[in-house]
Amino acid sequence: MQALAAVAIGILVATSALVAIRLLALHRRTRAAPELLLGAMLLLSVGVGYPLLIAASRAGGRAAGALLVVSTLAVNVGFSLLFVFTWRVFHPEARWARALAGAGVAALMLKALDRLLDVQSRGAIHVSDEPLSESLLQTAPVLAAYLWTAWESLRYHGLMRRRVRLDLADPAVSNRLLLWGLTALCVAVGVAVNSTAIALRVDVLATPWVLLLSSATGLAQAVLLVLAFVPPRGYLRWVRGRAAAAGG
Amino acid sequence: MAESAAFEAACAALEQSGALDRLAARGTIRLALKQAGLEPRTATARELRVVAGRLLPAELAARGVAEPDAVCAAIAKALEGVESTPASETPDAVFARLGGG
Repeated sequence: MQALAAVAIGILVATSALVAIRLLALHRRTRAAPELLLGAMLLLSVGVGYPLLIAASRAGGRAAGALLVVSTLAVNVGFSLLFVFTWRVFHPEARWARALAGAGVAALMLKALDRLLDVQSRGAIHVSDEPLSESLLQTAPVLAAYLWTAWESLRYHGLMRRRVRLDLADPAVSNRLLLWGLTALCVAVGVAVNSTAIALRVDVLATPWVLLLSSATGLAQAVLLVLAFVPPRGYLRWVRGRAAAAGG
Repeated sequence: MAESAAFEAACAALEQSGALDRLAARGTIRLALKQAGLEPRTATARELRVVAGRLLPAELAARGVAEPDAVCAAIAKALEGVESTPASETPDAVFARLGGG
C-alpha cells in the first residue's frame, strides 16, 4: 500500500510541476496574472511543499524542523495564491471576495509564522505531534480555499453549459471549468481524509485506508489537471464532438 | 456593480419600443440572460443579439407583447453600434487561455 501511495504522490508531484511550468511559460508570453497565480500555486504547494513535507516527516533532528518550516512556507504561500486566483478570476470587483481571500491569506501566513516560532522554540517537531486545534488552523483555510474554488468553478461551468447550447461558448472551455472544479473537490476530499486521520491520531504514512484514499484522490487530481491544462487534442475533439452531437 | 453597455442598450431599446416600461424591460432581459447563462455585468453585444434572436421573443410573448419578433429585431439593430468586448476579463476568457486556447 505504501508503494502505491508513493507512486500516486510521485505522479501528482510530477504532473503538478509539469502543469505549473506550462502555466508559468504562458505567463512569460501573456504577462497576465491568472497563469502566474495558478502556476506558482501548483509549483509551490504541490511541486515543492508536498515532497518537503514528506521529507520532514522522515528526517530527524534539526533537519526535520528546517524542512517542516520550508515546506509550510511553500504550501501556505501556494494556497494563498489560490485564494487570490479565485478572487481575481471569478469576482475581481466584489468586496466580499476580496475580504474572503484576504482572510484566507492572513490565516495561512499566521499559521506559517506560528510553525516557524514553534520549530525555533522546540527544535524538531512533526506535523503528527501537533495538537488537533493547531492542525485545524492549518487545514481549515486550505479546505476553505479549495471548497470556494470548487464552488465558483462548478457554478460557472453551469452557466457555460447554457451558453454552449446557444453556441455562445466553447464546450472545451466549459469542460475545463468542470475539470478544475472537480480537481478542487478532489483536493478538498484528500485534505479532509488527512485531517481526519490526524484527528484520530493514526499515522498518515502507514495506515492503509488513509494511504488508499490519499492515493485515489492524488491520482484523480493528476488526471484532471492534465485534461484541464495540458489537454490532448483527441480529448478536446471528443468534448467538442459530444457537445455538437448533443446539439449545443 | 455596473451593468454592461450592451445590456443597457438592449434595455433602452426594449423600453423605447413601448412594449414594456423600464422596470419590466430590465427584468425581462435579465431573465432571458439568465436562461442563456449570461450575466448583465459582462454580457456583450454579440451575446445579447443571440439572446434577442433566440430567447427574448418567447419571454416577450409570455408578457403579452404584440409582435415580439419585430421588437427583438429593433433591439438587435440597436446593439449594432455597441462595443462587443466585455469591460473586464471573464472567467471563460481566462480558462480558454489557461488550456491553450
